[in-house]
Amino acid sequence: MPESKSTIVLVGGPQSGKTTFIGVLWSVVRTAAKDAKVRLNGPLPPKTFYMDAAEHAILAGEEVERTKKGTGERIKLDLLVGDEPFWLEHIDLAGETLETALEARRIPEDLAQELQRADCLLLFVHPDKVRRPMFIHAANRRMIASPVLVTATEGEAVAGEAVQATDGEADPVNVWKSAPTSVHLVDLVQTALRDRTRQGPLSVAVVISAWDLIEQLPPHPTPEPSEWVRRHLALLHQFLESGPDVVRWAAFGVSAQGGDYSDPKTVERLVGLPCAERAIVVTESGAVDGIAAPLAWFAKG
Amino acid sequence: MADASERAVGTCVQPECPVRRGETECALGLELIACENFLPSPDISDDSTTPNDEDDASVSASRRAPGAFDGSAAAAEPISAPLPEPVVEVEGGPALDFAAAEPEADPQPGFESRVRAPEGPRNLVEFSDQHVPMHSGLSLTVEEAQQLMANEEAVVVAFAGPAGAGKTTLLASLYENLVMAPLGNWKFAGSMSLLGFAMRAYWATTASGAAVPSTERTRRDPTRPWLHLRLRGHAGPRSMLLGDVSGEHFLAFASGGSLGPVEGHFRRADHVIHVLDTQLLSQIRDRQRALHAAELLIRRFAESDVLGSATRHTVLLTKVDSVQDDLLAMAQSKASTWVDSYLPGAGVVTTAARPEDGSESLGLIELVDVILQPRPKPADDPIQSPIGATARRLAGSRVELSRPAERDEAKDADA
Repeated sequence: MPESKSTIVLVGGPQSGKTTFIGVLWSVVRTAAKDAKVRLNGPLPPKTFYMDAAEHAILAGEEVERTKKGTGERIKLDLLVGDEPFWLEHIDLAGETLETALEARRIPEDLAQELQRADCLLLFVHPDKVRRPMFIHAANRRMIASPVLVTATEGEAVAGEAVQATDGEADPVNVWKSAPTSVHLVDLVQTALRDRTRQGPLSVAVVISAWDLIEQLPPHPTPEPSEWVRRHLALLHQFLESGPDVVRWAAFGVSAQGGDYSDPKTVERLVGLPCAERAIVVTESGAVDGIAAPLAWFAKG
Repeated sequence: MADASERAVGTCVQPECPVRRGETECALGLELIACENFLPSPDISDDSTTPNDEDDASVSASRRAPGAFDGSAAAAEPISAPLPEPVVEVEGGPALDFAAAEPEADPQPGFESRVRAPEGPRNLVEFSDQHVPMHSGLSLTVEEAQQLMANEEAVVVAFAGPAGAGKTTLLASLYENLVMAPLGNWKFAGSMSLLGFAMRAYWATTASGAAVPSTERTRRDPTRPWLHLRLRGHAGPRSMLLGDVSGEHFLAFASGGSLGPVEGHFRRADHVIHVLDTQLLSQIRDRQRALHAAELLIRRFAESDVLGSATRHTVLLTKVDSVQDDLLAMAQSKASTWVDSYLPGAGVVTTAARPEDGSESLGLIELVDVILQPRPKPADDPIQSPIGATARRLAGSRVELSRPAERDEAKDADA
C-alpha cells in the first residue's frame, strides 16, 4: 500500500489546550491494543520526552506545563486509523509565539513551512479565551433594551470616556490585539491557505477545548460544537462554510482531561482512570467519541 | 431594581467587556445568569446541587459509545459499578457503615509522587531570526489589487462623495455586521484586508474606550485605497474591491478640476457609488447646498471621460435614520431625477450604517445585492465588452484603437 504522508498542524492561541490534547492522544495511541482503531504504526518514535511529560502530568491530575514562547516541539507519529496509514507531524508551538507573529505580520520560517504543507489544521479554541465582538452601538442597544435602569454615570463608566479626536490613526497592533478571536482565526486559516503547496481542500478541525465547561453554562441542552462555533465565532463559521472546494471542516467539543484539574474533587474522581477513559469528545452529531475523533474525521475525508 | 443580595454571583469571562469582572452586578443591567459571558460560581452552600461522584462516574461511562476512537477496544467498556460498602457486623448491635463514619477524603497537599517524571532528549525547534512576512492585512495598494485581480474576478467599487458623508463608516459597518452574522444571504468568504476593516471599525468598538461610536477620518493618502471582501451568495463566491478615499479629492473635481491621484481608481471602477449625506438636509441652511453639491458631482462624473461606458452607478443616501421622512422623500425624489438625467439605469439605495438609536444597520444588504448582481457577459453584450476583448476581436482587422477625439478629426479630414 503506497504510503501517504498527511501533515496535521495544531494551531491555536495561548492556553487553548493544544499540549494537553497531545498528551492525552499520545497516551491513547501508545497504549492502544492491536485492534484499536487508532494506534501507532510500528515501534515507538524517538525523542518522546515532551509527550511523556505531558502524559505524566495529566495522569496525576496536574496541569500540563505550558509550551515556552519562542520554541516548538516537533512531533512525528506514524499512525494507523483503521487500516489507513498516515503521519501526524507537527510543531507544538506556544500560543504566544503565534500570537506575536500574527501581530507583527511575520511568522517563523519553520512555522510557515509547516502551514504550507498542512493537509489538516487542528484549530484549538478555549471558550474562556474567546474575545467576542464588542461594538459600542451593540452594547448601547442592550442597555436600551434592558428593563433594569442603568444610570448615565454607570453607562459612561462602562464604555469609558468619550474620545474627542478621531484624526489620530489607530495603532494597527493594538487594533489587531483587540479584534475578535474569530478574526484572528480566519486570518490564521487564510494564511495557511494562501501559500499552500498541497492538493485538495484543507481540512480544518475546530477543537473547542474544555467542553465540559460549556456544558455547565446555559443554554441547555448544550448546542452541538458546530452550532457553538456559529454562535461564538460567527465570522469563522461563515468562512469555513463558504468554500467546500477550498476548506472542509468539522467542530469537536473536547474535554481532554475530563474536567477541571484545579478542582480537587474533579482530580480525585479522575486520577484513578487512564487517559483514554477521561477524555470526552463530542462530535458534530452530538455523539461522544474518544480523543482521536478529529484524526479519524480527517482520515475519512 | 432587583435586590443586590439576590443577584447571581460569579465571574465574567469576557475580556474587556463592559460587564465588570468579579462579584459585582452587571453594569449593563443584565441578569447575569442569562448572559452568555457569565460563569456562575459553584453554589457551595447547597450540597444537593453538587453532582456526587457516583453520578459523575455513571455519566462518564454512559456517554462513551462502544467502539469509540480512543485507541483501545478495552476502553469502550463502561466503568464498572462502585464496589458495595463494607458491612461489619457488631455483636449485639446493628451493622455499622464504617464508610459513612469515615471522614471525607481530603486532597493530599503534601503528596510527593514516587513516580519519577520523564527525562530525555527534546525534539525542540528553536525558531531562528528567519521570518517570513505575512500579508499585512491592511487595505491594498494598487499593485496588490492588480495582483489579486489576476487571480480572481472582483467588482471594483469606487465611492464618490464629500468628506463626512459616511463612506468609511459604511465600509466599517459591513465588517461589523459580518463579524456578528451573515449579511442576509451573503456569507463572509475571505478578505485580504481584515486588518484594514478592523482599523476602520476600531473607534466603534468598546476596546477604543469611546462612549460613542465614530469613524477615523480618511486621510488624503491614496496609496492604500482598496478593501478586499469576498462574499458567498446563492450563486457562489463574489469578490469586491471597495475603494476608500478621502472626500477632499472630489472638491476640485466637482468644479472642473482633476481627481488627482484617485483618478485611476475611478477609471478602473466597475461600479461607482454616489453618496449623499441626508443628515445635511436636516439643517435648512445646508439643505440646498448639499443637494446642489451632490448633483454637481454626479453630473461632472457623468459628463467626464473618467468612467467607462460599462460602469454601473448607484446613488446612495446615507444616515437616513437621522432625517425626517419628508426630507428623506425629497432626497429620494431628487436622486431619481439625477438618475434620469445623468445616470440612466442606476439605482437608488438608502442606508443607515450605524443608526443613532443603536438599532440594526439599514440598507447594507440591498447595497451589496446591487453591487454584486450579475453583470452581462461580454459575449451577450458586445457594445459593453471590455476593451481587451474588443481589441482581440479587432486585431485581425488591422483597425487601430484611438481616442474618440482623434477619430472625429480623422472623419473631418476625410470629409
